[in-house]
Amino acid sequence: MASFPDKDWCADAHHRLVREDPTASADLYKAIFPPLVGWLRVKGRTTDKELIRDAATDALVDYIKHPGKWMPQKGTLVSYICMAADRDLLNALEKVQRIRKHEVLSADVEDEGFDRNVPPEDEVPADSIKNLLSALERQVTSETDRRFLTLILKGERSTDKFAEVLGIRDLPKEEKARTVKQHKDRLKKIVERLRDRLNALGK
Amino acid sequence: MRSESDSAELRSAAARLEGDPFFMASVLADYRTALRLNDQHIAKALGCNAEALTNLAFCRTPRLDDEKLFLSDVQAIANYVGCDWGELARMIRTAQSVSTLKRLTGGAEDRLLKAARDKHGDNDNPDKPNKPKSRKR
Repeated sequence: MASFPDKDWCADAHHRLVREDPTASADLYKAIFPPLVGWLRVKGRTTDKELIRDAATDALVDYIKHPGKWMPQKGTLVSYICMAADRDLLNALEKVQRIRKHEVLSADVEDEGFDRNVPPEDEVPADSIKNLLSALERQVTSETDRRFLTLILKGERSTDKFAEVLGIRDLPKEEKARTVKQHKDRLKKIVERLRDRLNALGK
Repeated sequence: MRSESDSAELRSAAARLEGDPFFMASVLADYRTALRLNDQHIAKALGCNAEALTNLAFCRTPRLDDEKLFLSDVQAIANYVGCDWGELARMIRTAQSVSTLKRLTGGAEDRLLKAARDKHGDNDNPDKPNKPKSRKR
């Protein structure tokens, strides 16, 4: 792994940057970018190379454009840039996590549309419902699961209603949504299997 | 001496700066796009090698609002990179003009860029009207 330049070298480059020497940025980039990327990799917050390079770029460009932000009395230039890059990386990772969480919640909302593919109760032939319910009764023995399934079959869309059945209404919103989704997925699989079997029998 | 992986890392880092007018990377990108050139063409025109273009990309764009500062910046960069400062100055001014034209013009832009490309000897374009007779090759 490339090593960082020493304090004297950094002080000289910093002065050139402050004096608006147009080549100082190039020397800083060449000397600091490769070891900075290596340092972020070793630190191990993520293995995503692009996020690491973005964080290193953001920190270095910010310093090059605003060299006055670095206070030499508070620490070395290398530690200043490393800390900035690490902070940028953490922010980027938080952003990625936020996006992923949002996707989980969106997926949950989409899953609630699962029953939109099933015609409303009054349009489904009574025999089909009866057959499905009796098959479900044999497959699903837990009272909680039965109440949960009843909500699904009624087309319930509120996560809170499902959470109430599971007794997890007081959990944080995201955790609640995740748990409800897990139960839905499990029961949906049972329903789908039964539906396939009933369809096969009806043919 | 730089390792091969460091060189690759730096080339990729330089490419990330192409959208930032603070860095010469953006000038190179504008020039390359406008005149449909590749790095080898540009390096040849500047009298340097392709690796020197990475060094050039990391330099700060010269101060354009003051002719003296512009010249001193261009000379410092050319000296650092090891290229022809006159060619570098011309390239920066061309890229600057192209960038300004892009902002100010709509339909005329294509004709102007075509004219600029003609000047650089790009005769591969089949729909080129009014081919200049005394074109430099």
